Amino acid sequence: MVTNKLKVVLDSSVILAGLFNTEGGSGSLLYAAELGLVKAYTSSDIITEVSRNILQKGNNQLHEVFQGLIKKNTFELVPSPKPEDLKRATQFVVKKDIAILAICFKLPIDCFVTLDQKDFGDLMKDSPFHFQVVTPEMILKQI
Amino acid sequence: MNIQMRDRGQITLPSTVRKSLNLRKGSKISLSQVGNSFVLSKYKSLVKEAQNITKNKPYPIDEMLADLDVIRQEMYDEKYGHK
Repeated sequence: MVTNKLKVVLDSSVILAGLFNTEGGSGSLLYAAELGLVKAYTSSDIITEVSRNILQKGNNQLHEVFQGLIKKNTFELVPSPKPEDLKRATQFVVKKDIAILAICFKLPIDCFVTLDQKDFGDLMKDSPFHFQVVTPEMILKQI
Repeated sequence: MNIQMRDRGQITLPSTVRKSLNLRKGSKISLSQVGNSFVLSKYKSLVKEAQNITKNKPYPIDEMLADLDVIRQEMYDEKYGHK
């Protein structure tokens, strides 16, 4: 029995990769979120990113399944940050990633999970926050 | 609850578990590895259903990240770009 659930924010890269890969950390982590083995937060912006990507690929069937995952509360959705909440995050990441980092600041999480090592690689090595920045593979061993 | 594995990896699910999940001979259950654990589930997984839909549609991770970068930048500009 899992007594101390990991609390994580899932980036769009992890959700999308989890929908596309039966093997690998993202798929396992997404399944763990579906089963409730981890507490997964994400934002309405992340959901929109994933949805747009799936629809751009013309995969309506996959989009329906993804909507089902949202409806069954696989993720706790948190609202987008207000413009005034973005300032602190601007010190750490490029412009496009400011909003997701600002969301993480406000949540009682253990990890922000992303596959984007290009833009979050330095924070993965040494996080100055109350949470770690990790890839799925890095946290699966803690589940 | 601890159970012991027998020859060739066989295990017996305790009757309390079988009863509570209404599992009978012939019931289909799925086995998945999650980190260092294995999960046995009779539950219909939407994640597994998604992975079945996409299993013959490879989407290389580099391409996926590049596409997401573009969408994220568009969304940032739409929402915060002029503030």
